[in-house]
Amino acid sequence: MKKVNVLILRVGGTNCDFETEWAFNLVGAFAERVHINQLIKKEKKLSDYQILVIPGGFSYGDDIAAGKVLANEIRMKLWDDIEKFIEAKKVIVGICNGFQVLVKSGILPFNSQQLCTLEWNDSGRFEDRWVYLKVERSVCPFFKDIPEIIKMPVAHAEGKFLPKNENILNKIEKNKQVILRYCDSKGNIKGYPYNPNGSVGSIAGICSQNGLIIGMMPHPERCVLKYYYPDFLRKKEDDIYTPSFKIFKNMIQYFS
Amino acid sequence: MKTKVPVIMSKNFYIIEIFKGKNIFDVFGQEIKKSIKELGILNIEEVKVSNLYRIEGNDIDKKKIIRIAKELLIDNVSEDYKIYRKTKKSLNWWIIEVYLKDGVTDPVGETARKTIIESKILKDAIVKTGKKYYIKGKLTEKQIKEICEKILLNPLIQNYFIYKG
Repeated sequence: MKKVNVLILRVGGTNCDFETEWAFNLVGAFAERVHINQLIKKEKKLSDYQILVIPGGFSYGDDIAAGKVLANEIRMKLWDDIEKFIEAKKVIVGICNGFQVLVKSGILPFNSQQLCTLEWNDSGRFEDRWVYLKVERSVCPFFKDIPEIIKMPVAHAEGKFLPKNENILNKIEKNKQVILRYCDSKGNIKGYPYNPNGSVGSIAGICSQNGLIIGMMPHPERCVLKYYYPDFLRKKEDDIYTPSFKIFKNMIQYFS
Repeated sequence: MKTKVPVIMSKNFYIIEIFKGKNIFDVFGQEIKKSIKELGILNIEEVKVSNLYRIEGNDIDKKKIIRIAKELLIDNVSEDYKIYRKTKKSLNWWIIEVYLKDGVTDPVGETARKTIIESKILKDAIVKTGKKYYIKGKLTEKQIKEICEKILLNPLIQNYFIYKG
């Protein structure tokens, strides 16, 4: 079987590209880290890849606002390629800073102008810790056979999901575009500290209307094996692969 | 790598002030208010924070500046902007503007400049970034100066200007 090609978009300030590459390679894809200038200069073609990942980090030093400069750059220089990529029903994944870029460039939630944002955390701090997440029943095909409550690390200062108005939030909810919500260990939706940033509706991740473009604040690439969990010695689990591994696996299996 | 300093002949400039929109929680305003109270200055009512971009260039006009603000700098969901050349005083508010001193590298300004040039709205520009603080409360000028130098800025690398309405 031909391997699925994954492009991991790199710009100045990206710092989660290595672990994202590693996670995709682990599930059997061929992942490659590509700098945005290689795409702009046409040294690499976006159409050669099936999955585009915008990884976490601090693109362009989070200057102006997190993800804003990269979102502008994508809008100005790569928009035609991205449109074709979306039309071809390929997969786009935005993790943390990547989610900010997808939202600020308008690709999520409806591929239009910007309708949502990720604001500063209510705590005014960089929140870097583990959170519980509730996997919602959404249109996204990559969360199949994932337990209802999972754990993932978050690390962000600007992660408060905020739609422009109530109608947009209702539309996202009605279309089943919410993929993950922050919750407590039993799955109840609660405020701070369970919701680390004060997101509206405790939303941690959303997808596009067809479910193929996903964006999320937590970092699945930081916990693909059970050894990454802080309590892995106390829990005797036979399977070394975690639900996050399964999410990456599902993305690859979508193309087989 | 040394960045090329653009040669701007005219003193043609505008200031874009970017602030949080209505009903958006101003985290930094709240944090600064807390810090001021911790300093022992209790009669403080409200603090608001905005970002400033002072854009200087040969070929600028108001239309282009509006485009820069709308298309490149603000978050269309949570932020709004004002454009002016001279800071207006405001009744009941102390206004403090903080800029980096000349010669201190302004990385955010440099990123904003690159974005502006890449967008082809301006051929070249000098962008200086700063912060603007609005402070409400019965305070003396001495207290404001104390707040500035202990909380709002680093006097070694930053200049500040105080306006009282």
